Amino acid sequence: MLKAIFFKEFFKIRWLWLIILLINLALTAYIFITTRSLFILDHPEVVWYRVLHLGQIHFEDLKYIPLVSGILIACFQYLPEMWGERLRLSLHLPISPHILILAHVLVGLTAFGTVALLDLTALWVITAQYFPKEAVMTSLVTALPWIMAGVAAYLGGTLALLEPNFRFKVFNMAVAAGVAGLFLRNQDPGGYGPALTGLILPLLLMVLSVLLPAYRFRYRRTV
Amino acid sequence: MKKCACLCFTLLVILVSAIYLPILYEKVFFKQIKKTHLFYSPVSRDFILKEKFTGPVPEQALKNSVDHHTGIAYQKADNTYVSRRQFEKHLPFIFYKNMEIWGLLPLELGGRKFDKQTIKKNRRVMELKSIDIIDRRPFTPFWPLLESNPGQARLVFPDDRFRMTPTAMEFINADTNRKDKALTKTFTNTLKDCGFIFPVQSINGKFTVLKPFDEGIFMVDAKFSVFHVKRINGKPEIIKTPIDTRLKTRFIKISENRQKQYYGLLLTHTGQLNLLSYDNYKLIPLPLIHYDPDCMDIKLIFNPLFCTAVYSDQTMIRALAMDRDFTIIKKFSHTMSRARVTLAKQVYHTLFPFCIYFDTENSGFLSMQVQSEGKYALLGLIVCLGIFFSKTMLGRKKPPGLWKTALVATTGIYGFIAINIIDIDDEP
Repeated sequence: MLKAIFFKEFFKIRWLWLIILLINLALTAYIFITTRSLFILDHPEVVWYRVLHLGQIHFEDLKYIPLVSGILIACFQYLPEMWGERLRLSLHLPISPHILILAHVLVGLTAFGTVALLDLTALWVITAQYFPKEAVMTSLVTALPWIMAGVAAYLGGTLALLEPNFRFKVFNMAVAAGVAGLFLRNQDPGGYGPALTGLILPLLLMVLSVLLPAYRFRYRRTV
Repeated sequence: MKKCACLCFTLLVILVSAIYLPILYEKVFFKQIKKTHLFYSPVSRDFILKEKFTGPVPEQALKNSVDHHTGIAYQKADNTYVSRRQFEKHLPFIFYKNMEIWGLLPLELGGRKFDKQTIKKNRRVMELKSIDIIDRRPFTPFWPLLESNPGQARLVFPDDRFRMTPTAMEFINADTNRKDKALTKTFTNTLKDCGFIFPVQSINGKFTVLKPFDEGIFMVDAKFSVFHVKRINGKPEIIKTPIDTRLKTRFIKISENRQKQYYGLLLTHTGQLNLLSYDNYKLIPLPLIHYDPDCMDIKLIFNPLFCTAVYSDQTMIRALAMDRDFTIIKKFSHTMSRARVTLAKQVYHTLFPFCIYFDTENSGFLSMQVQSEGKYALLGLIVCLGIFFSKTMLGRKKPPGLWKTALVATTGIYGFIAINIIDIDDEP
């Protein structure tokens, strides 16, 4: 049964997910071009100084793309379910509602994770090409919270889209925006370092919280 | 599983509201007041301060606010207020340009005459913010070693930077992004010959070209010996300083200055702050009282007659006036106006039994800190619990369940919001 759900979800979002993947790929290519142009316009030691010492983030354009990707994946995955009330059918399958929803979430997170992995790998390659290894580590620590913001956006989108009640939907969106906002503070590169482990907690809470609107949807239809 | 989901969402709502609701309240009801500016006046031989007021402005301060904003007071240590012009006249070494315009130069103080050039030559400000300390901020462990003899008017960055590995001072060329083997070998061997023991504890320097000259860097080795490292004509010049290893040097704030009296400030592991002098790296301990480098910013203001150390945390500002031999002349401490407990603050502490601060206070790293104001928080919890009980009794004609009561009793308004939004009782 689970395998069938995974396949269903994969087939549902595969083309739109591919578009998101391509957009992310295009953006990383753009970051490569802008990073390269930094070194064409100025002496490498000056670029190193600006990036390594003054904290200029050469991949700042990456900041909001995981957030947008997370929201889009949630929309592609759950909007068709909610418009056609297809989720109601799925919820009547001989499988626990929480297993069913968590399977959906797992597919969504895997889709997002693949995109995020591409972003981080591209960032690694671009930074390693022009900067020393210390800068690679700093760049990854700087970009990781943005990826986590994307996870929060995906889970927040799920939380809001699965909710049948409009009032709760707005509230869930506010909570999700609050969690995502935690990962998008303007910080010096690496400033999130020690806080990253603790920030996994709100994401874990969100994973299980998405079951609540699904239960509401399954057992009661409120307007 | 449903209960688990409810609990997770409740905790999530509490977490998010405990972070954002206090911020929202602060934005609406709190005035962001900057820290007080405190000085030692060589004219009145007493302290004088400039402060923005929280709450009502004293009548005397208002009377003296003819030439400036009414919310700002210029106050002497004896609690009398002066006008801005008088304030500046009390600090002629700081506002010497105004003194010149007002025809008050050269001025005579303590039997000595000071003209503009003398004042300029003897003025200096050194500063150490808690966020400057190397272990309190994020940084990439990769530094430039400037050429101290650039052979031209301005300093330039070298083509390379270095990292400290457990066994070497490794230079990486910026053009190729590869190791410069020759330079690495030269510097590493010279360091070892001078008695440097790897790995390095800290690298200290002013890594900019926007300074009058370059004094190189100070490295603290594994045994806390301090080495002065310079690159002169591309070659290493390394001196093992006589700085006591028992001090366990934590951080050195280097600041090149044409006076060439002090390299900068040296902080030990016990929090003792010293001036690092050009005189064979002699340390001059500063007689600071209640100074905590991890949560306080300090300024040393030198003028031709005195040195004033001014340091503050978020509420208290302290100052020591010293003569040029660093003997204390006068001390002063003052609770800043920004620390005043206003009605808005009382309501804040009552309304929010605890707040989760997700910020970078005194550090470059983000961290979460839970803060609570005991007595107000307790009052707020009792009031919140009362409202919650009344609401439930009126609505459902029966007392609330135990866990809901416990939640509101411990988290106050946050739990109250979560319970009312989630509305768990309606679930099948």
